[in-house]
This record gives sequence, C-alpha cells and structure tokens, in this order.
Amino acid sequence: MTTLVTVDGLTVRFKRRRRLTELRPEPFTAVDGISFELKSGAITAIVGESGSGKTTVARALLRLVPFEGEVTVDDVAVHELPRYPGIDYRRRIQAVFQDPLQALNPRHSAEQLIGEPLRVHGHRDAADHSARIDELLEQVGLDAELRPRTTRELSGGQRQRVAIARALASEPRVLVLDEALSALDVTTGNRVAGLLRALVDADNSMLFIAHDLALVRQLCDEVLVMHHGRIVERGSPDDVCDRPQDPYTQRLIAAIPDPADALGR
Amino acid sequence: MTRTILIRIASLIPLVILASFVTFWLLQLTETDPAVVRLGDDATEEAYELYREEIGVNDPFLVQYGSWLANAATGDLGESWHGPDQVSELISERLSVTISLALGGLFVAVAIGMVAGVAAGVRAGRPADGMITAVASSGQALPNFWVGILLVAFVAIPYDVFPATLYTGPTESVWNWLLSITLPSIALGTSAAAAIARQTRAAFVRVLHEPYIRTALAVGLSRRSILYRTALRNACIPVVTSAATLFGTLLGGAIVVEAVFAYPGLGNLVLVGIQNGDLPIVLGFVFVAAVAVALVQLVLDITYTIIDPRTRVS
Amino acid sequence: MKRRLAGTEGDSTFVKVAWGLIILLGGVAVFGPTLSPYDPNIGDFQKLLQGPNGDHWLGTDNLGRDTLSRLIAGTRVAALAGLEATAIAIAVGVPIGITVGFVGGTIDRLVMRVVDAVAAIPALVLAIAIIAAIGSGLGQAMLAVGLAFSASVARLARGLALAERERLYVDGARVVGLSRPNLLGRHILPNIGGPLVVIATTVFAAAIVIEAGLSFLGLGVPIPDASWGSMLTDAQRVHRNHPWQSVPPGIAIFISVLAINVVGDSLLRRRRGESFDHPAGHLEPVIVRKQGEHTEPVREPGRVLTVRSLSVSYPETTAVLDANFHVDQGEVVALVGESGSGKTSVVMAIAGLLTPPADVGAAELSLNTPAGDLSLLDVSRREQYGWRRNIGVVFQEPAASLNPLQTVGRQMTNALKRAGGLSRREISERTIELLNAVGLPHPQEVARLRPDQISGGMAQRVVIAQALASEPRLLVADEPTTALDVTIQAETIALLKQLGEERGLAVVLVTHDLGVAAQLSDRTLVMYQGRVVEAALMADLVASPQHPYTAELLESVPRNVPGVRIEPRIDHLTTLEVPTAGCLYAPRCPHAADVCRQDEPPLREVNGHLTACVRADDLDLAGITRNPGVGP
Repeated sequence: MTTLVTVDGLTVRFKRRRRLTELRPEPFTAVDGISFELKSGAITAIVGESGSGKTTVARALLRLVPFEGEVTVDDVAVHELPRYPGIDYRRRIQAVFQDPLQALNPRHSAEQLIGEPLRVHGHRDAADHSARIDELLEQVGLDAELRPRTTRELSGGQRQRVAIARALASEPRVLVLDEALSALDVTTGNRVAGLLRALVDADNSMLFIAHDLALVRQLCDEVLVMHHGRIVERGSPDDVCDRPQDPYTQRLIAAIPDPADALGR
Repeated sequence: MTRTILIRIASLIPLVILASFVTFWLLQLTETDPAVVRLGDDATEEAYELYREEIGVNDPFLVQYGSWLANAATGDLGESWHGPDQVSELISERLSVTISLALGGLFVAVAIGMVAGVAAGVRAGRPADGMITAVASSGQALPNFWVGILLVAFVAIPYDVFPATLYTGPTESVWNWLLSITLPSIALGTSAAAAIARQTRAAFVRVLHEPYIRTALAVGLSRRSILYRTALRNACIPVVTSAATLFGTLLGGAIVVEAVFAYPGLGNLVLVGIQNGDLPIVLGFVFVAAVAVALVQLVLDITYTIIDPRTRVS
Repeated sequence: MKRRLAGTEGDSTFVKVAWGLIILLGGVAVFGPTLSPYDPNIGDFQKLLQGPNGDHWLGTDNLGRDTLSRLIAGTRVAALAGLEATAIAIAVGVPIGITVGFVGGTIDRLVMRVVDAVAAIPALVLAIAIIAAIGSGLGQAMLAVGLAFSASVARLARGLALAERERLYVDGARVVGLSRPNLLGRHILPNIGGPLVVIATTVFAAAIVIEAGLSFLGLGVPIPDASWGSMLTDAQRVHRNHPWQSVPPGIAIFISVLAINVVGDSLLRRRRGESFDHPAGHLEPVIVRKQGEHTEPVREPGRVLTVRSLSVSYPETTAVLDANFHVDQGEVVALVGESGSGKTSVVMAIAGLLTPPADVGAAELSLNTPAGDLSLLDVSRREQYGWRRNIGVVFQEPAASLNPLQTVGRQMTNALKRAGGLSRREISERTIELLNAVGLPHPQEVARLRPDQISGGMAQRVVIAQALASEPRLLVADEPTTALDVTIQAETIALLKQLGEERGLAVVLVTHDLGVAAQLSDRTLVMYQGRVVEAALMADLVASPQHPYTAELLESVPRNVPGVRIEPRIDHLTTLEVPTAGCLYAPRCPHAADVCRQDEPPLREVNGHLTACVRADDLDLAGITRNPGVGP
C-alpha cells in the first residue's frame, strides 16, 4: 500500500461576492488548513454537509481552484503547477461529478465522451481507439451498443457509468468522486457503488466526497468528516460511525434515517 | 439606500470618461485639418500653424485629451472649429429638443409597452395574448422615421392639431411643447413600445413557470393577486434593466426623427458639423449623449433597487 | 434529434412565410439588376410623381424614376448593409466577448469596462461619430454600424461564454485534460452557437433600420443611388401633396425587418420550447376529469382523502396508472419510489397543481372537510381554488418556492388573508404564532427577512408555516427534505411529525428515501413506473416485503449498521427495454418467471399487504431487521 496523494495544510480562500453590487467582496475561507493522505487500493471518504468545503477540496486536487498549502499527487507537486496544468498531470487524476447530465456535454455521444480523453492522452490509432472504447464500456458494465447514444439518451445510471469510463480512460492513479452517487436512484447508486469497489485496485485510490455517512460506511476504507472547512474527525468507518468523538459527527450520525426505525414504532 | 445611489453615481463617472476617451481617440483618426476648416483653403501656412497651435492639436494625444476632459468637467466643450461659437452653447440650445423627444419616446415606449405587455402576460395563452403579441411583433418592425413621415402626412397635415414642423420649447408654452413633441414621441416610441411589450410578456411567462407561483397557488392566493402582486413585480426586473439601453436607442432615433419633423435638435447640429468637418461638435455631441444615457441609467438603477431589494448595498 | 436551419414541423405558417420572404428578398438582392424594369437612377421628366399604374407598378418619384426599380436597387443595398454590419459586429464582438468571458479575471474586467463605455454610447450616435472620423458612404456607414453594434454583441457573447464556463461539463472537460482552445472549440462554441445565431438576426434587422436611417439623413448611400432610406428622404420632400411616395420604401423596410424578427424568434423558441407551449405556466393547472365507473363513495369515519383510479398521462408517457388509496385523520401515508415512478404526479394531482400537457383522470378524488365533502373532478377554476384551500402543500425546493421579492412576513400575510376572516392584527399575531409553531427562533425578525436572507432549512419551515395558514386537514409534502442537509433533514422530519400529531393532520408524504418514510409514515405505497406495486403498514413493509422491488429498495438503502459492506460487482447492464406485457419490473427482477411476462399483475392482498407480484405467495423476500449483525 503506497501513498498516492499527500495533502498538507490545504487552504482555499474565495472572495465571496454575496451580491452583484458588492464592490469589495469579503474573503471567505472554504477550506482551512487540512491535511490527509490517500493510499492505493483504498477508498477514502470526505463527509460533510453543504458549505463544509468538501467539494472545494476535490476542486483543489483537480487544480480547478487556486489554493495554499502543499498537495502532492502521484509524485507531482500540484502547488507548483500552473493554473492550467498540462495533460501529464491530468492523466494522473480524474474525476466523476454529481450530476452526469450536467457534467457531460449534453450534445456528445458515449463514444465521443470516452474517445475524447483517449485522444487527448494519446490513443490516436483508430482501430486501437475504438477497441479501447469498447473495453472501457465493458469495464463499467455497459453494452457497446450504447456507443452512439448522447448524454440525454442514456439513463441516469448509464450516464454515470459513462462518466466513470471517461475518467478511467487515461488510467489515472487517483479518482475523485464528487457526490458521484448522490443524484442517482438508490438501487442504481448501490450498483454503481459496487462498481467503484470493483475498480479499486493496488495501483489506484479513490477520494469519495459525499454527504451520506451510511453509504460511506458501507463503501469506504477511511472517513474524514468535514465541518466549516476543517476536518473534525477521521478514522476507519466503524470507528467514526460507532464511536464518534466530535459532537458534530455525533449529530450527523443521529440524523441518518433508517428504514428499520419503522419497526420500533 | 443613499449609499447604493452614491455607489451607482461613482461607477457611472468612469464609464462616461471612458466613453469620451474612446470617441476622442476615434476622432483622432480623421484627416480633417481644423485649420482648413476654420480658415478656409486659401490662408497662409503660418496662419494655419498658428491656429493649430492655438487650439492645441499639435500637442501629444494624451495632453489634448486631458485638457479637453478638464474643460468638459466644467461644462466647457471647446470651441467649434468652424465658427467662433462655443460647442457647449450650440449643444445646449438644441439639447432640449432631442432630450424632449427621447424622453417622450421613452414615456410612450414604457407606458404603452408595459401596459400591453402586462395585458398580454396576465392573459398568457389566451387569444388576447396572441393578438397583442402579433401586433407587437409587427410594431417592432416599424422604423421610427417612417412612422414619423406617415404621422406628418396623414395626421399633422390633414388635421390641424399637431404641428408638422414647428417645435415649441417648454419654457415658452408647456401646452404647445407637449403638442409639438406628441407625434415625434409616438414615432420614436412605437417600435420600442412593441419591443417592451414583448419583453414584458416574455418575462411574465417566464415568471409564471417559477416554483413560487405554484406555491402562491397552493397557498390559495387568487389569480389576480398572483398576477398583479407576485408575477408583475418579478417580471418588471428584466424590463427595467433593459430600459437604459433602450433610452440610448431612442436618443439615437431622436436624431433621425427630428429630421423628419425638421426640429432644430442635436441631429441637425451634428449633421452640419459632419459636413463641415467640425469635429469638436461631434465630440461634444457624443459626450452629451453618453452623459444623458448614464443619467437615465442612474434613474433606472435606482428604480431597479426599489423593485428588487436584493440588489441593495447594505 | 436533428436540427435543421429552416422549416421544421413545429414552425407555424407565419414562420414559413417569413422564411419565404427572406429567400425572396435575398433573390431580389442578388438578381436585382436583371429584374429591374427600369434604370433606378434615370428618371423620365415627363412622368414625375405618378401613382401606381400599368407602366410603373409602384409609380414614379419626384425625378420621374421608377419606384419599383429603386426599391429593387434598395433591396441589394439593404442586404449588403445588413450583411456587412452583422459580419463586422459578429467578427469583432464575438471573439472579444467569448475570450474575455472564458478567460475571466482582470482581463475580463478591464475589457468589459471599455466595452461597457462604448455600449453606453447609443449605436446610431457612435455610428455618426465614426462616420465623422472616416467619412460617409455606404461601406463606411456600415463599418460604423458594425463597430457600434460590436460592443453590445461582445457583451452578449461574454454573458453566454461566462454562463457556459460555469457549467459543470466544462470542468469535466478540463479535468480530462483538454487544452483551452479545444475546450472552447469543441465544447463551448457549439453550445453557444444557437444563441449567437439569434443575436446575429437581431443585429441584421437593426442594421437594416440604421442603414435606412443614415441614408435618410444623407450619411449612407451617395446621391443618386437608391436606398430605402434615401427614397424616404425624397418622399418626405413631397409628402404634403404626394403621401403615396413614402409608402413603398417604408413597407419594404417593415416587411424585411418583420420577416427577420419572426425567423429570429422561431430560432429562439426552438431553444426553449416549454414556456412557449404553455405560457400560463403554473397559473392554470389542469382540471381532473371524471373517468371510470361511478359508484357512491363509501364514507368511513375519520376519512380525509379518497383517491380512486387516479391516472396521469403525458403526450408520450403514462406517469401514473390507476392509483387507489385513502388517508385518514392523523395518518401519514408515504408514497415511495425512484425517479420516474410517478409519486410526485400523484400528489401534485391531489393538490390540483399539475399543469398541461398533463392529462389527469380519476374515478374519485374527494376530500372530507368540516363544511362537507368536496370533489376535485370536473370542477370549475373557482372550485379548484376552494379545494386547494383545504390542502397545505410543501415542496421540494424551499428557496425557489418563496417569492424572492417579498419578506417572509408579507408572504405569510398573503396566505393568511386568503384563509379569510381575520383582522389585520389577528393576521400579524397568527404570522408570529405560525412561525413559532414551525420552530423558527425570533419569528418577529424572520418575518422581516427576504428568502435570500434565510437558509434552506428556515425557508422550508416558512413554506410549512404557509401551508398551515389555512388550517388544512390534509398536508401534502413532495420530497420535503431532499434539498436539505442531513442534520436539517432530521429536524424537518421531527417538525412534520410533531405538527401532524398536534393538529391531527392527514399527511401524504412523497419521498425516494425509505429511511425518511420510516420516520414519519404509518402506511406506505411503493410505486414503480407509475404503478403502485405494494402497499402495507410501514412496519410490515420493512419487516416482510411482498414485492421483489420493495425488497430491492430495502436492500439498497445504505444503513448505519456494522458489518455491511458493498461488495465489488460489475453488473452488465443490457439495455433495458420497457416490456409491453406483463410485470414492468420483470426485466430487473431476480425472481422473474414466465408467468411474470404474460399479463400485467393486478394489486391483490397477500399476507396483509397489497402487492402486484404474481409470485408473492411463492417468494420468501428478505426484509430488514434492527441490527443485521445480530439476527432477528
């Protein structure tokens, strides 16, 4: 088990313009000096509610927002990269976002969506290219016959699987899943979660950003709980969920609705 | 609220300055020689040079602009190249005509446009809506000066109520002033009214699809109350926002329409200015137009803040 | 869905005529000289100022020139002017706008300051200034107009690019590793191409009018060339005695601008269809039709809502088919299902809020109120309003459900006024009382705030308070907690539970989350693709589901219990076709047998549940227990 990502003192500040007319937007710290590591073969979760800064962490790792602190992804010092890092960095870390209908260009077909990263990352040979698309589709459990369908013509689960295949195309070491299951129906989400579990191997690691602690407990290997930009609790899923130390984590756990609650009534 | 207004004023000043800078720079591109304009073709080279020196066109560009701007801030827009007159005096003599028409046009546009747009909006999807929308679509395609020509030919000349060519200033007689700007304002405002009507109606329809309309219905508010309290105010926001741009269009249109009515406005001044190569007049004219648009923008911004409290600076 | 440039099926005759006119005018512009009956610039001094006649179809002007010929010559001028100005405005404005919109930051702010300043000068005024600098003439005039318009085009293009840049798919493409030019060319441009075409049409129409205006002022085409504008100048000189002269050129401008506008509108309409098809939006919900057999409703004591054979269909799908249920006083009935199951359609139909093109029918939809029974079938608008006054509704998106311009207090007042019979003072007392009842601290202060000043959780409490304003007996809640954070969700559930118990409300709760349903509901209906597939007491449903779909839902819900891990699995999803016969769930069902694919199974009673599974008796489906690690 090797360490693929090291985050040390990550801080992200925004100028928050609350109103259009605001002349001098006040600075706002979305992520406040957090540190953690991602290990290969593991799914690490960041759990938090809206405004906790969890999505901003993902965006910092993906070099979509400027940040302070040191972040190393697969031996690349991300904090030293330019605002638009080259494909050499992009190849190493990929992402799947919450709503595939928005995160995938609505006009493009599955084939185009998966072919795009392949081309960008150097699969230019046509036959090879096409075979690789089929292979990626296969890997996420989709039929090759879906290739011509556009984003809009796919079901929610299919879309998210295409998004995963697209992310896997460059064979990244790190996969960031930003609320990747939240927009899916529960049965679909469950299947896609199983797929994620099947895709983690000794060579890669996943960062699973979510608000659903129960799902995180079932899926992930390590849990970080974020609140107001800070990590308030971390540990194994069982430790965090059964023996929460931080009062916020305790509240979060108490709030999880459980179907079995109907039994006691 | 006062703070909001002050901030708006403060943000409009650089806008006007920049606009004047762009125009000043633009007019530098001309090959017109002010000395020839002033002294004619047959003066001596020394006389030409003396005049150029006097009005400062030999100075570096930024120096020229700087002194023009400093003077403009005090209301002095320089001297006409063509004659001894001050540009600011020439403009102020004629400003009332053009501004009267543009404001009259804005009034026609907003009054008729909003009423028609709301009338269509509250009947969205019904036959009356379709009719108003169709009329507005056609009205929008009517060029203002053609409407003006038709009004002169078919209203002013046959019926002796409105003057066809005679402008009366508001200081002379308010009633005659109103009569004299009625037809040009209608000419100017027709197409704009149609545009506003369509825009208001479209804004209305968009608002009627908002979830809070459904909530209002669920809470039991009457159709009337939903339309006139909830929807109307929300629908006005985009319309008010665009009315400033509209005033600019109307100001431009006023120049053409006053030519139709042969009113002695800025259009006439600037056309003669262009024929004579008298660029200070053109510059002064653009500057005044930009200031007028900025002022109307300010008024509309304030209106907007009243309608939409979210935009207030706290 | 293939996009075509012109004449799709949806276009009205109007739009087709407009396209026809544009093609006609284009043809005239191209072939003008060969069509022209006379030389447009040479007059016959014997025939001055004639009206329309056999030789000169549109008459002659003050110099005896043929009006029709001049009109034809003017068409080419107008077309060229429009094309030149539009091309310049687009070529200058679009790259600037898109680039700064896409790059953002300081460059964007600086460039936009200049663009705003230029745009502050009215287009015609700026055009006149440019003409003053570079001289008059058609080419110069249109260069001037094009430049004058480029500022506003840049602003619009920037707005489009900026909006597009914020879209998640752009982040997605960035993460994949696309370079900026690729991102712009492959993703952003194709998506904003449509609106840019619409902008181009407006510029084109405006350019034609401005060309005419400038030529009218003598700043456009040189004398004696014909332009529609210069023809009006000539016409104006004689309009006292020859008003006809100004008619043909004016009509020419009018018709061409109208045709371009109509086409531009149709392009715009194609981009956002819905709001044009049903302009009344939420304001005019559909009326529920009475359908099916007519039986006298059975009155049970304590019954609040009865729904029999409710169906909701849309032009291409059936959202709900034959839903039957009832809710008693103090009872919470949950409708549980995934997206597309029809659960929201059911409650919105009950609330009388479904909008066209929905088609809603039911055999019975009745509400028992203190004032007697109400029916929602085949009612008038007024009766529909009356029905809704007896129902409180809570929606999914609390922030969007409140009027953004009114304070909370004002909106409460409006709601309470409708409830009727209260004095001003009573209304403000009730407002505070209700805001208090929904657990808002400092109700006086909250009442003074606008929706953008409160959090989502607070907004949902305000929506609930509004729903209670008319003291309804039935509360309908559509995913009331879905948009809220987990901790806020728990508080909201607790509030709904407390309010329901205190006030003896009958509640219909729609949720996708069995966990949420378990906290609140007494009975639950599970829906799948528009059908109720199982109905039972909530505890029974959870403990021993009688439909495989319910079992799958229960198994999928993530639970905070030890020892449950998601196992690695790659199910190969073959494309699921909706079956035309038999059970709709069969293609996904692990227990599906031949019998499942024959007829659509009716809802029937098995072990105290209603289930739509034909094999329910044979299956032993697993429910869930409190702690799966320990056993039942």
